[in-house]
Amino acid sequence: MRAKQWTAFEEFVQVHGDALVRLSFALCGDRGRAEDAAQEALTRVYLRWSRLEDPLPYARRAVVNATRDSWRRRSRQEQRERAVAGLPPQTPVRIDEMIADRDRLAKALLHLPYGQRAVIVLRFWHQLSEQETADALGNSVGTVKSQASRALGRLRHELQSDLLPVNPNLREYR
Amino acid sequence: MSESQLAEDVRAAVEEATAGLRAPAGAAVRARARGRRRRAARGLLAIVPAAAVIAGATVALHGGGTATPAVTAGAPSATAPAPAIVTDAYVVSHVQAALRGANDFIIVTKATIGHGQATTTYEDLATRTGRSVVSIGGDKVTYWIKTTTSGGRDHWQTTYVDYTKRTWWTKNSQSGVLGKATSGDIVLSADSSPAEISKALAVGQLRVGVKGKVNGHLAIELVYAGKLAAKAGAVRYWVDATTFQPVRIDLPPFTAATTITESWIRKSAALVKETNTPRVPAGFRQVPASPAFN
Repeated sequence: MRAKQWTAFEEFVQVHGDALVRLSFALCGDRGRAEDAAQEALTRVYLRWSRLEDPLPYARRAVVNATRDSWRRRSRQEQRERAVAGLPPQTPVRIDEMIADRDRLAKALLHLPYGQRAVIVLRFWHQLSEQETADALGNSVGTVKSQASRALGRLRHELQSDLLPVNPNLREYR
Repeated sequence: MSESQLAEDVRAAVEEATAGLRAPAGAAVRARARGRRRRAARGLLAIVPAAAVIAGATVALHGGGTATPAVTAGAPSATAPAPAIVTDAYVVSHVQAALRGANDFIIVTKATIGHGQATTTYEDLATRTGRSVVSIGGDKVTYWIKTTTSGGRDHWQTTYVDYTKRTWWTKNSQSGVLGKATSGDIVLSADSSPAEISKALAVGQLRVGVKGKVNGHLAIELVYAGKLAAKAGAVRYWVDATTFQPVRIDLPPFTAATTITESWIRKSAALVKETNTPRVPAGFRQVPASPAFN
């Protein structure tokens, strides 16, 4: 990578690095894994830098993939270690129990299947279009639409269970 | 609940959940080091410029087979660009510029005061409204305080939601008559406004101190140097060396319990609404306001 490209890459990391860590954290709920996944994604971006016209969509896609990969890898490793130690297989960790103080909506988000969660985070937090979200995830627009619809339905179901307005000035959940 | 409302809530929830998260220091340098190692492992070094090949090979010869030395978080590598040398005046002007933009952000402060009590406050300086989330063990309280000033007094409108007792209350209260500073000294605290901090910098009562690291990021210390420093203790602010926004406040006696971390989140409509609009879950019982509060 030449000096100008390196400077541009550094600027890219400076401008978008935090957002990539946050994106990963929104997907996995674990700070350490988020930082590792973002670092891995930046490495992939670095390797392709000279061939990327617009590196941000590629970086987002790399974060989504790296976060999913790290989760799978960690899970397999933990299961192997437990097997070696003669311990029974671990039940899936409830991610919301690992997070001390989190809005219940963020918790509900972490209960969604990974694909649906990624669609929700990219569509409604990063405010990408359906096409951009599909590009970031390597899916079709139709898949993005259906996953978004299913995810919103599940979130709505969880939120409507006990949140009701107490006076007209407060937010309505009906 | 409409889909757009839900989408907006999702956006606000994720914004809050990820607030303050930052890329590890040296992420670009580390990406380059890893990238080079991978290229070397794949036998693709030929595609990088000749100089890089030579440099990488030299390191490989002296470094036990790795193309580049390992880079630890925050540590400068041999090839990292040298940090810019900045003067105190440069720091002051950039901090003041950052502070002038404070109304474009929601200011998030986090403090732990012992016994497992942690308070996170989201503050909108434009509306003078703050939303605080207090956690004590498994208990959680959220309260909103909107401040207005009239008749020489501050007026506080508080909405307090106790998630453990499933109760809430509202209350209006006010300060005593606000005094006017008679001396030229500015007393800085954790609650000092950006304007006060900026003024203290301008008159030299807040001075640029040492450089250090806060959460792995290069930061610059600002030390209170007014006449009241010896009496009241010298509050120390830390600003990020890149954004010049405050990232930490150290208060006397400088223990973990008197350290406040700070981050700024650029405003979105959802975040502004969440910060400014009290929200009470359904089924919570309204109770008389606590006389001890405010």
